[in-house]
Amino acid sequence: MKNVKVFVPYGAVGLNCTEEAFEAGLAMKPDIISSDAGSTDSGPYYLGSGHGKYSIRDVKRDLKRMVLGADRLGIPMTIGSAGTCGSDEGVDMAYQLITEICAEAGIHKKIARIYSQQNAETLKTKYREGKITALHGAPAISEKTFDECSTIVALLGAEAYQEAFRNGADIIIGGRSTDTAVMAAYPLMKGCDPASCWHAAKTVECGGVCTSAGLPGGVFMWLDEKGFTIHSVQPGATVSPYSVSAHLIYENANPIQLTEPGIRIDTTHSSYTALSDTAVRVEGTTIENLPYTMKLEGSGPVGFQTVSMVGIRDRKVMQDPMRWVEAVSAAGIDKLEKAGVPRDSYDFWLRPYGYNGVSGMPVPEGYVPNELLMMLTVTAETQEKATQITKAFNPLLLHHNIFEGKQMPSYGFLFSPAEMERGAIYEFKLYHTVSVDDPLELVRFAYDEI
Amino acid sequence: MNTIESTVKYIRSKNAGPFWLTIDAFCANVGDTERVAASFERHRADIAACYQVEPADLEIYCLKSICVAKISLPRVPIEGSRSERDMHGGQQYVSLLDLEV
Repeated sequence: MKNVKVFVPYGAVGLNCTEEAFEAGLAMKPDIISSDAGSTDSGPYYLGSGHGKYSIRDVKRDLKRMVLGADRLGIPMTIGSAGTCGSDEGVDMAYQLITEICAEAGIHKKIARIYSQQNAETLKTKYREGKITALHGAPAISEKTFDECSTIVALLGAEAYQEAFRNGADIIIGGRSTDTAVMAAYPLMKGCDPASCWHAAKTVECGGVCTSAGLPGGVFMWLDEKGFTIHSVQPGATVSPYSVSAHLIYENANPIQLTEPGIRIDTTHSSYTALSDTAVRVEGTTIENLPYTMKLEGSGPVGFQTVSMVGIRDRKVMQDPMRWVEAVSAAGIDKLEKAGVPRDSYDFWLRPYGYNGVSGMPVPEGYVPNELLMMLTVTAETQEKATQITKAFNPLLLHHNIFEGKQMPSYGFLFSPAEMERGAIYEFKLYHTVSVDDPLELVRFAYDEI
Repeated sequence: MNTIESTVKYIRSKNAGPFWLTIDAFCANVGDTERVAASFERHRADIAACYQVEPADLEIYCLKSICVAKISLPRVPIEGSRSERDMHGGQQYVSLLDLEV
């Protein structure tokens, strides 16, 4: 019977796993080592700027272990969504690190880079052809939206990785991919049960999170023609039918079905059986074919931000913090208006953290805080303007007196200077799919032997 | 009065991509799971209003095999908008704690 063993050391490249877990994973003799590296969870900055979230040093440490481990066993490796957002920059950064690792270790590999960043013109054509479809909850878009994005990626399916394998790649660096494609591609290509490949890949996409060891523990999946088995890797860690089945609901709107490029799996009839404390067998997942689409993610700049914050313990302010927030906001708007800065030329919020900064909702009757952090965030067209506006607020944050007949108060700044420039800020602009004639239509490849 | 907070073992919320939010209420047994899911259903209009979506947008699941009652809904505003208060959506479950079960 056809079977493939996949070792998934990390929840994301850059998040690390324990040394024992990594060695235990290699000792289980995988046929391939795979890890996702991406996420949109930390916000639109990463995609919009094209930069990664984790430090280069951490990413290199994790890649080095994978490259050397795969070399030791003579097996291939894949990473998907390189550089958090899977931009072309992210793929090239991972390629650069892997070439350094190979050179330092004196090993030679064939490396495939798979790019999935898109240019606006291609997508505008698709849009005009009616091939771009909004997903439920998507913002309204027009042709202009594609130009407003600084980065757009199309999520790769398994086919792009399989193409790279067929071309003899030992190491595949994927641009933005579905979380599962990077893990599912190889066993799918080797003839394992397709529904099981996708279901298993979804189970392990956060690495050891589906085991008792959690994120740093790694995880291992065995796939065959009938189903799959999830194994814990970290010595002493366990898996249970509960830990394996419950992971399907994590960060997933639909806990029963999973839609991937060209297919949808359904877990309604999946059975989960404990084979031991460290292995759970899953069978019965079903699959249906759909027209082939790729999900698009796009993010673009919407201005520049400057932030300032001040701490307050003053007991009169604590009695009614919102009165202070409203008075300082109104005084700032008025001051700027008089200085020729109209209200519609900037955006700002002033929130009392320790009161209702997180919720923005009314507080329980009678609640009086001991102290608060008042946080001001200004967004404007340029950094200079955002900072200028924040500076106009500065004396108000420090000294604004809202009580008649009292002397001028001074509140507690934390920093000098009291403003912090946050640079460009971004927003997600696309939650759409694009239909393609061929899974590789929007995908580009580069191969190098190093 | 039994509330969500006094009934569930553990409850969490998280983004499900930048445009959706999902809330998982882990229960001790199937009975509690059904009661919590029924409570979500009964309070559908209030929950929708609290999260600024239409009642029909709430997807409520009663997952008996893992004793989880789950709500998924469009995220308003979308993740990382300039008025963001909770980037990962991890604090959004708190609004449900006082719901009557």
